[in-house]
Amino acid sequence: MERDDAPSDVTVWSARLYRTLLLAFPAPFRRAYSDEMAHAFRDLCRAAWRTRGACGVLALWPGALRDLLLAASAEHVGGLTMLRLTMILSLTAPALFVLDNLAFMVWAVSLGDPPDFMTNVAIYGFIGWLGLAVVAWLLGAFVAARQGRWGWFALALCLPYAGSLLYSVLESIAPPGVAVIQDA
Amino acid sequence: MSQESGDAEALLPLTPAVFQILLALSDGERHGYAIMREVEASTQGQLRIGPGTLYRSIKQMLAQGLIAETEERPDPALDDERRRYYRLTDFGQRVAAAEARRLARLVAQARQRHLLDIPGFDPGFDPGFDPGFDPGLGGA
Repeated sequence: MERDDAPSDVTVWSARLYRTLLLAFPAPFRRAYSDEMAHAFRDLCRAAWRTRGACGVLALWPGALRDLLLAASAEHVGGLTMLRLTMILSLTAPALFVLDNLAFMVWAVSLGDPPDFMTNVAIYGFIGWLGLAVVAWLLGAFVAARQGRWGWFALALCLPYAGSLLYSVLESIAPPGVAVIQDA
Repeated sequence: MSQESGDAEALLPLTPAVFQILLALSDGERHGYAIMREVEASTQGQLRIGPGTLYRSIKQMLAQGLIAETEERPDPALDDERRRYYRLTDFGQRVAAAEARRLARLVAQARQRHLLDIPGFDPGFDPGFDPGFDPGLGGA
């Protein structure tokens, strides 16, 4: 059955949701193509609505989600240079470390006596941070050797140490009870 | 980086999506949605390209110089001015032809090995076989 061209609710909301999901793409890709992609999907929805109604529009979604997931992830990975990977790891390592220690501190301050698993999380978080920092350092060394970009390499190298510095600051401002618990 | 002056063979094999987009643009300029419809129609619905795959491919093909955005609109009165139209470049045409030859050689090999002679086998389309076509298999 052919329906009229007037946009239905399901078409309008599908187009809006699709446009929102386009946020999954990297910003440069979005700036270049998101309008056209949203436009194309809206046209697909309208065609599906005309021929099969709401069911036709809803039937577009599994394929659209799969397409978005694959294309967005490929676009992210495709734009991921070794240098960026190094920077991400370098930033992630101290960030995880800080989050881990903050969680431990909040728990310790609020309850006074953190359970064993929290202590384990803090310890293994520290090991994880150290591991990521080493990986970042190795990748940084590799990239620097390949590209001769020593400024970026120095920054990547410094970030784990910045995490370490942050740890010292956090430790110095931590309430006395937390220090006692950690020492114990 | 554009490879307009480069070797067409260097880009082979093409992905199915890229080859289908080149085929869709081989008979005229189209916008993204029209390319999607053309691909679906020409493959009898066997291949559907979603907007994500389509525009990733378009981005890559623009960078490789296979297609170009066109300034002129085929019919401005009938169309949304925000749509962008794409056309095949000369290099894109050469690459599409090289890929078609590569695929034709594969089909000829399959034919030689009687893979297409299986009773009841239906390729699903009219291959339009040209008896004068030489796939370059060395006269086997």
